[in-house]
Amino acid sequence: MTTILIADDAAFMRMRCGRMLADHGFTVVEAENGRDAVAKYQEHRPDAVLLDITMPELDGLGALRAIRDIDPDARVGMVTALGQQAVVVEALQAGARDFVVKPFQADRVLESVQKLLR
Amino acid sequence: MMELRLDATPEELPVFLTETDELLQSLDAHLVRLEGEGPSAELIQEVFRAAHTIKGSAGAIGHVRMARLTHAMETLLDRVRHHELQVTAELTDHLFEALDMLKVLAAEVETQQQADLDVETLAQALEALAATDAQPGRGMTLVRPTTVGPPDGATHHLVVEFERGPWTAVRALQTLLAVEAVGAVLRSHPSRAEVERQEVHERLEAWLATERDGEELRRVVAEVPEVQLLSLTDAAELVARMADEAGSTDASGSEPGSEARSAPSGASEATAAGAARKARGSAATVRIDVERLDHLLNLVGELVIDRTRLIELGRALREQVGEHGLVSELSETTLHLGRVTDELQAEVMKSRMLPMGTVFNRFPRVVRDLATRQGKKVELVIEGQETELDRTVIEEIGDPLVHLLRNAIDHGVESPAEREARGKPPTATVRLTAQHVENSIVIVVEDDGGGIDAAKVRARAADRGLLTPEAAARLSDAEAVDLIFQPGFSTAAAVSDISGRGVGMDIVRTNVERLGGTVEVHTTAGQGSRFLLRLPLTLAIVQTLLVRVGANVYALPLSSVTETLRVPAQDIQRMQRQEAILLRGHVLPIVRLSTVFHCAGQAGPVRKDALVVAVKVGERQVGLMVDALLGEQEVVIKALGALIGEVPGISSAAILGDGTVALIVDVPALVQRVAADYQDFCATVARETTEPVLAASVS
Repeated sequence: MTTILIADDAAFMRMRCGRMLADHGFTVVEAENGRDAVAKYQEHRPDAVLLDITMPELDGLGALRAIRDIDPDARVGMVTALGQQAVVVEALQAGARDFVVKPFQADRVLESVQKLLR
Repeated sequence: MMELRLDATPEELPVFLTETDELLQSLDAHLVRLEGEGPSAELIQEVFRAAHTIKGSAGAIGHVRMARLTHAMETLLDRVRHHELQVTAELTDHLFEALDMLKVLAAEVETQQQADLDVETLAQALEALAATDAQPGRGMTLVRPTTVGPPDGATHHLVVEFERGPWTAVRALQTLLAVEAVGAVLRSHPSRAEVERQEVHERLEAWLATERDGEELRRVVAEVPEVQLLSLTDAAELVARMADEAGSTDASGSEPGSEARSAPSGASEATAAGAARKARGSAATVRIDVERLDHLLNLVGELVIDRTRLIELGRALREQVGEHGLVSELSETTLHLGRVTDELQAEVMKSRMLPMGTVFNRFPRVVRDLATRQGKKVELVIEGQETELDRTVIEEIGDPLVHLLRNAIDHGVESPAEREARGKPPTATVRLTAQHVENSIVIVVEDDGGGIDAAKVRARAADRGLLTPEAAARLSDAEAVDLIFQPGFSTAAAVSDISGRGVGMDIVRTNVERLGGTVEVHTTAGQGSRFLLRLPLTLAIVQTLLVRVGANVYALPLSSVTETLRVPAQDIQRMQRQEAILLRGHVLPIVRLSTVFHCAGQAGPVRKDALVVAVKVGERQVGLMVDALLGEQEVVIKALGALIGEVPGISSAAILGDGTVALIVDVPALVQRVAADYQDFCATVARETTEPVLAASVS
């Protein structure tokens, strides 16, 4: 059972993304901010992670770094909006493997997740 | 009206709406603070994040105009975030305008109809504001064609092209990273540093050193989306070709890696987001439908009824069968059931509680708008947002509070000039507090404005014919000021659309009393006023006194009952149509419930002792004549329902343990009606007779 951790502070987005991933057979774990994401990563050791960039308490970039500290092999993708290129650049350098742009299309997310899992 | 098509399931919409509403409300509060206190990194980040989140969700459901507007807001806020733009009145005004439009756009989701809004104009206005004082933009350096020979050790030369779009820099970096996984990038155009600064155009050229073969390189590059491989050549071949062409050597290639990495702009998100945020609570909370809670409460109510029934049955059984072992077991179990039900009821009641903050949330905006419109300066201080109330009360208390706030600003608070003349600070303070006191909640609305002038109130009341000048003169100052709650009263000479003409305070009192509460005012002329509201914690369950009138059972909320009396027939005075008794020196008007509710009952004069329940609402007291007292009982209120509709004098109903339906009397309404009649009556009597007893003021 492949587990994906999704982190986004907007419940609506988690619902949408999670629903879509679950429909495709993934087990989904949700986190509502960066700190939560790191905790959930420790607890569930998911196969891949999708982090929203803008989150309270600890943002996507911070969570990415923390997760990579825990697990240097962690497969993390960033969920970003237009205008956040600079952060994505930093994220890629910090070890993120891919990014998805909001508003996202289902196939793009799936593609990204599959890429992360490879 | 055009239909609004959205890309969301019926399940997703309520989640979207609830979340968006919350965000919009908090945006309201934040913007008011921003305007008042000035920008702080934390505040700006909060506002930015809210706009950003709404944009994301709006985009996800396909609400194009909403996404457009929030995007423009975000653009503007982003510049503020980076200290590139000042927070001016113009800026906050625009943001408020955008916020109001967002509220309408969110409402569209409910109605599924497009409202007539000019989103584009406002969005462009926001973007125009964002573009002011623009710093010179970062220029994109053109990729210079490589004309220098390959660096030592290079095995391959790579050229890739990116799809036009905002992500070229990211794709470039991804390409570099992808290649670095299988080899080394010796040199590239643009350089790694330039890529990190997002100075990327459409192409990336790179000299690579790797042990892998071209196929693998191709595969690795193909993994990066939106990137097209233009050429991948063996370095040696390329060198040979270049030597053939005897190309010029322009030594202006930029060196990779030797420049210090410059931090990309906009990475301040990490710091700003790290700033403390009011804890929303961990994921240990659950959202629940209000209907579901209501249903739960109903079920608990039924349980309570059944429990009472079981107790009665147990008792009856014991009378029949005597002290049988099974009977004791039954009574023990019933007792335990009672304890569990009580606790269950308490828990359900608690889960229905909401913090006062949910009502208070919208007030900063209301106060801000009012004060601005009237050219007054007001600071709203709120305390006790965490104080909890049952949602039934919360729903009803908002409007009366808004009215009191409006009243404070409209009539209480003076203009800054006036205040200074009086030696007061130009900014008035309106304080709103809420706290639990025993079994009630006390809400206070106070201002440091001009207070209420008792003399003016007296004069006005007499003017309006509410009472005679002599009667007015006889009232104490406190009683006089209380007159503002009388229907038909207003000291506003002109009708202000804000507070209305005399429609204000009496409605506040009526509404509060309808909720089983009281409202009183304390004031000092020149210094300010203080309105005190006392409310029960819940409206869903009520302690009642059951009485019989005719063949029916009625329930009187215990909170309004002061005492029960057995009155000998001869003590009942009768003047004209009104009956009354003397209770400890005060006149207590008597109302026969059998008359009010048209029950078969005693219509003629009372023959023997009469049973009277004295009830008090605010300062008015009335005696209700009933046929029998049945005892006290806590009941779960059930609404009468649409089929029956509104019945004067009855507020709701309850089902008793034995299945009887008891009608719950609307005591405030009854008292008000009687008191009004009685006051007229008193006034008439005062004018026409000299009866000292009746001329005494009614308590």
